[in-house]
Order: sequence, then C-alpha cells, then structure tokens
Amino acid sequence: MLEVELDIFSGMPNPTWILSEKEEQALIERLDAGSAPLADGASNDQLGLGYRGLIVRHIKSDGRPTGAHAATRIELPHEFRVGDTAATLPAAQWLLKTSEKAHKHSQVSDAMREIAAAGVSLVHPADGAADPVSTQPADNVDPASEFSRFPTMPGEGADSPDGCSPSADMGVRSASWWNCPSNTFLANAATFNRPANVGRNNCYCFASNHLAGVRYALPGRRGGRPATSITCSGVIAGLYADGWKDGCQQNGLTIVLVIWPGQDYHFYRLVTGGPNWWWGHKPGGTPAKYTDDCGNSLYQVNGRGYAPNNCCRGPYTDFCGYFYQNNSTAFVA
Amino acid sequence: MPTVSIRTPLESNLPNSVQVELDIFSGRPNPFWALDNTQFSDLRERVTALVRSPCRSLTAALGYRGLVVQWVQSGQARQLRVQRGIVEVTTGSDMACFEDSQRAVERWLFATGKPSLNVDLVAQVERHWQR
Repeated sequence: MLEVELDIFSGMPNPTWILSEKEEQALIERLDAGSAPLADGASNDQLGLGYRGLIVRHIKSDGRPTGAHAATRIELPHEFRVGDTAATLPAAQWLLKTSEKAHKHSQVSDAMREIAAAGVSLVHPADGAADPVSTQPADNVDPASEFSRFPTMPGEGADSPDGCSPSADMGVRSASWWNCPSNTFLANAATFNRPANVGRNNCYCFASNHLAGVRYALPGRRGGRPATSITCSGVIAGLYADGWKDGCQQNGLTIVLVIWPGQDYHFYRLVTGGPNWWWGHKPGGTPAKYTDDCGNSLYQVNGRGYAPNNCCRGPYTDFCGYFYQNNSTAFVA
Repeated sequence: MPTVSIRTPLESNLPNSVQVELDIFSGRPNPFWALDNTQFSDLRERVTALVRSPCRSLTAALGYRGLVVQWVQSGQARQLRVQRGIVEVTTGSDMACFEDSQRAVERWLFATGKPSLNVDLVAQVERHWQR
C-alpha cells in the first residue's frame, strides 16, 4: 500500500492520501515509462521552503508481494520523491491529481495545487555548525582562556573528562559515561543541517542519530509507550520503551536528557571521545551545533570545560541523566 | 540565500489562512495560532513601515527563538520570521530583512496569540525580552 505526501509545509503536518491498487499500478507504469532514477525521499539538499515535491512511501504490506510491483521492470524503493526533477515531473503532476477524489480526504487545497504547479522551491544550504573533528579544538584553543569566564561551575554529575578524579556526584543517573569501553562517536551535525533535514528532525532524532524525518519525535513512540508527562520520570519511561539503557552498551550512543519542567524535553549526544569529549545538540528545527546557549564550545579538557551537566541550557533546568543504546538499534518515531 | 529588493514585503490581497508559530520548543510541537484578516492587514502595515536592514544569522538557542508566520499569497508559500529586532520575509528562495525597532512587530505579533498560551510560556518570552 502506497501513501503520498504533498511536501509543502514547514511546521504543520503535510497532507497525505492513499493510492488505490489501480493508481499504484498506474504510477509504476508512469515511472517505468520515464525510466527516471528515483530519489530518496529526503535526498535533495537544495529543497527549501514551500513545495518540495511528492514523497511516496510504502506504509503497509498489502498481501501482494508478487503482484503489481513485481510484475513490472521497476522496483520501488521504500520511500522516494517525485516532482523535484524534470524526469519525475509528469508522474508528480499525475499523482497530485489523485488527491482530488473526495473520498480520499487529502486536505490538499486549490491554493496548494497552485503552489505545486509553480514547481519546487530551492534554497542555498544553511549555515553548518563547526565540526569538532575537523577543527581539532585542542590544537587551537587555549583551555585556560576558553574557560576563564566559567572555570569551575560544577553542574550535575560534574568532574571527570579527563580530570583524573571520579565523579563527585554519582547520584546522577549513569554519570560515568566516560568509562564506556565501546562507543559510537559521530560528529555529524552537518548531515542533520542539510536543508532537506534540518527542519524535519528534532533534538531526539539527532540524539538517536536517526534521520527519521520526524519533526516532533517523541521518546517512547517508537517503542509503543510514548512519554505522557514532561518530567524526568515521564520521558525516561519513554526512553526505556525505545531501548535506551542506564549503562554502557556495545557501539553505544551516549545521550543526556534535560527537561523544561512541564513544557518540553531536550537531548545532547556525545559526539567524540577523549581527550576533548565534544557534545552536540539540535534545538527543534534549527541547526545542530556543538555550542551551548551562551556560545561556549561543548567540550572538556583536563577536567575543565563544558558538557550538558554544566553548560547554559536556557529553560531546560532539570538534568535527568545519561542514557545508552547501541547505534544500530537507536530509532525514533 | 540571496536577498532581493522586495518593495512591498507583504502583498495586500488577503490569504486564506495565516499561521503563527511560537518557536520555543526543542522536542515537542511549538504552539500555533491563526491571524484573522484584520490582524494580517495590521501586520502588513507594520512591516511595510519598517526600514530595510541587512539580514543576519538568526539564533538557534534553547527556549524562545522568535515567531514564524506562514501563509500562501499569489500562489507562493511565504514566511515571516521575527527575532531579536529583525523581521525576515522569505518568498521561495528570496529573502528581505527589516529593522524591528524596539521589537514592536515581535511584541505585537506575540500579543495576538498570548491569550491562547499558558502562563509559563508567556513568562519565558517576557523574561527573554527583559535581558
């Protein structure tokens, strides 16, 4: 079963509708006739505000594994985009017409069709965040100078990297994150900051290293038990449902949960190992970055510096602890 | 993104719907509300009266990050973002910026949705403005 999404909004949900079996076959024939390579649903970096084409995705196995799709030469990807290239434009124009049938309740208005008829909207890439791997901060930043404004703020579960002392506050959940023997470190803010991704993935997507295209990913939704309260305990229950653990994991991602009490949640992810221990985060639909709300670089050297436990976090005052999951199983919804 | 000369930042014809987003959350959906025709006309007059300004990078901080208005006009998706004394109007790939002196447009726009917001969010925004 194929679902079509008119990719046009930024904050609000895009309109979607389901294709009939006959329409699916007709789409396949049109794509096959054009012999156009099908783009990944989120692969075009140049797409911007406004109409960005149509995303077609399989949403359910419909008991026809050897039916319509297999009978043609073309094999459909799980999700693909049409209308953003000249080759797939005819298929997109035809697909958009399938939304007009009243029984589909697609919520595609005439105004949206008018916008789509004008073609896709393109932008230049957004500013990317600094990359802690390529900039090699330890080589060009003087820690004494860098940390002089904020030298000894302890924070929750402070100490360590690599201050050569155990944490003074082991009451914080799973605080000894620097001792994990097997980690996955990915300083990949630039990937999440591509125009096609930046507005479609939130802090939880970045923390989980999952380009899910879910603007409002919620802890626990993927695991079937979405967080029901915006408290540490409520969101932690959602993290557990999604497979996050309190202790180190093989090839593990390390994340931190903080809470704006009663309002919102936010995450940080450890993106490099020692000696710098950089952290990254992505505030909502804005670019991922390696700095905090005061502009401090989020890394530590010789037991000094900034990490989620002692950095500027705006209204996210509740520090809920550290969580771990194998990178290969960390997904969001 | 290129900047262009937009003489009339907001056209006078009225869109079918205008959504305002308070950009404040990181994980959860931001609060939304709608502007009616009178409010949109008021917004248009306020923005038209502003002086052009160079565009600059917008903040990506935690907490309040300004307001985003989205609508469709003359067949094109439009966006107006207001933050830290700058109004940024985007049409397709074109952008123009204007100086929002004393954050007058920002405060007015926020006031249109204030009754629908909870007190903690209102307090957070007002604290931000006092800094």
